[in-house]
Amino acid sequence: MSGAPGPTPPRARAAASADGGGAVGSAGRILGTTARLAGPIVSLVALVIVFSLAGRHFATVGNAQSILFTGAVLAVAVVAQGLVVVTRNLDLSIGAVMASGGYFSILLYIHVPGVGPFLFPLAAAIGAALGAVNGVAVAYLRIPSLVATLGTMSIFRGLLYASAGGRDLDTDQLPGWLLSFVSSTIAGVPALAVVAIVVALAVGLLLRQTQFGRSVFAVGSNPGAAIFYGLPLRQIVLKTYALGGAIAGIAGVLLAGEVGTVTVDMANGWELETLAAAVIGGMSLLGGSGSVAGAVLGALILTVIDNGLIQAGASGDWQNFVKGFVIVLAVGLDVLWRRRRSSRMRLPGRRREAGAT
Amino acid sequence: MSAVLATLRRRLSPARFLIGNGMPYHGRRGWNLALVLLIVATGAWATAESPDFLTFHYLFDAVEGAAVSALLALGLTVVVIIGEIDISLTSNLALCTVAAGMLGQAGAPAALIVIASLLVGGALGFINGALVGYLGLPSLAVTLGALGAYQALAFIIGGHAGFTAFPPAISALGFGAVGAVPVSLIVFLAVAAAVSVVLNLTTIGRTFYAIGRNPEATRRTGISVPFGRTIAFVVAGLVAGLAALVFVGFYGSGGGDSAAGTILTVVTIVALGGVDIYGGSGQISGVVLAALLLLTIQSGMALLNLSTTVQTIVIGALLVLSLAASEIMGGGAWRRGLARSLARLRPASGGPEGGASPGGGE
Repeated sequence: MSGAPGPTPPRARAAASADGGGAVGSAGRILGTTARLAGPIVSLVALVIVFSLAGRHFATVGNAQSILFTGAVLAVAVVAQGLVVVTRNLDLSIGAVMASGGYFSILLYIHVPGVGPFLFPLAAAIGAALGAVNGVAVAYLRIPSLVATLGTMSIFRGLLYASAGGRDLDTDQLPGWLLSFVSSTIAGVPALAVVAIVVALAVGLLLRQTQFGRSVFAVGSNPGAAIFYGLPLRQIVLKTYALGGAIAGIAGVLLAGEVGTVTVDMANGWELETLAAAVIGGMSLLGGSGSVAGAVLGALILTVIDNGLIQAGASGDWQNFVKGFVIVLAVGLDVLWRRRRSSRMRLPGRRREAGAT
Repeated sequence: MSAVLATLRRRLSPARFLIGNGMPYHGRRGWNLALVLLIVATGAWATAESPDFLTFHYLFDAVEGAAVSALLALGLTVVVIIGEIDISLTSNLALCTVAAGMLGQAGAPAALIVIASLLVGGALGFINGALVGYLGLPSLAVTLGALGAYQALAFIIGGHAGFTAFPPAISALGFGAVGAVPVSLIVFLAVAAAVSVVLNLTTIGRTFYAIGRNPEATRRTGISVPFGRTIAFVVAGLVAGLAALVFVGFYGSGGGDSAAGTILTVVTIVALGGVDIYGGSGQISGVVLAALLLLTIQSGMALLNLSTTVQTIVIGALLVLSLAASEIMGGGAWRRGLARSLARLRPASGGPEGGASPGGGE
């Protein structure tokens, strides 16, 4: 503890410039965002080129539609996970929240068909309530998010098992409009993908263009500094969990429509799948960095790997191996890139420090 | 001479292993006592409800089923103490069972199978450790990738049929008994004692706590933090290799799907054991007690015909409530996590690995 108010810490400066410290649309911020997206974009393009050369059926309109269709729900779920990850937290309960949102909202629809039009708000409300439980556990009860959401994952999934009693919801119980909406296309683009884009745009704008969004990044990049600035850290974390839960609830309904049934095991394992997509999309699990666009790209990359490897005739084992490898590769490249950048940024700061003393 | 003896006596006093050695970072105060009380309460309740509970036959059956997760938890504890996490341990175990299974199929002797399993486990742990320690990658992301990759590799190498041919000496690890005591319980207690000795009595053990407590300070004292981190992952990998042998012994088969999906149980045991998930604090005694508590809850409830659903909810609630209680009363991990980020406000040090926070802010 030197105590002396030294020069602005490089890390804080970096956070300020990258997370909207300057004017809206400042060149530095746009450049920073684009640079961060470069990795995922290059990877995606490279994957598409390789798979197109490898198989005749990859580069077709039908296959592109299929990729968008299968990747859409994951993209929505990753947006929910990403919101929480930006605050330097995790949500391991996201799969259980998705299943609960999908199951209970559709169960209510079966008993009270009148709620049909409000299916998505309903699922969002259920998800938000469960997300708020996570938020309270993490922000107010101060439990590390990894452990807290590990516990709530068991609780939410267990409650779902208990109340469902092993009964799955079948296709003929699902609202017809949901099934036909999910399988429809809008100008050739699957409706699911359109929903994913809308959700991503909304959350992206929220994070990039609003005060709340900036405070979310501030909390994630440096909680201590955020408190010094007077930001209500706990409220912000609680809100992101609730919002993430709401989006996860919506994703649950979408997944129900895509799969055609709702089982109590729905979205099991999505907690790790969404984290993987977030990491591949350039989000740091240490918080404060990443973008919604990157998260969506991460989901798309995972889907393209699955799709391309299936077409190339590779087994599911090879898909999982490649995915695991890609996660480590993405994190490795990201850390290397950061280190180069921070060593470049650190030089002037150090010189000034030396001059001051 | 007498000073040496006094030091030795202090170092080896049983109290030290049970409640820590008095240093604040070796465990939460009163945590183990609370675990013991919970175990007694759950056991008393289960016994009152069903007289079958307190029979050696029943308890030892339950122990055999729970030994694998409990063993993995001992290894994970070391990794959590240095402030990292390894969620790939179950996949590591799966690949070890494939190695053991292939050798068993080829008719290799038990000793060779043991060595191979430990080697594979240690090597996979080393890969994780080197990526985290030397390249500075975040452990959660690395082991998330390894979780998928190692298991996939186990399937690619071993196929989906699984292996069932093991020499009797290996099967005894999971299923045998010395008198009435299951071998897996003996293995578990032996590993627990060994890890506890490493953590409490050796230099590398103290290094683990130091790294978990403050990596930057540890680096400045001249200790190699990357080396310490790597070794912690290797220890966890070795334990996973041993757990793989207990697994194939108990289930009689090995393959890519071995222990799949149980990593969250393992993390639960560690967290319930009072190990600070941010690193720097925790005792093996707590983890052993937590494994015992989980066993008591699960076997007691199973005996009462309560569904696994209820067990799941109870364990989840226990995890959240226990940590909430501890954080509120003791101002634990969260406050320390905050203190750590407050420390980051100071001008960043120019260490090549970026200290505790490889890229805390974008």
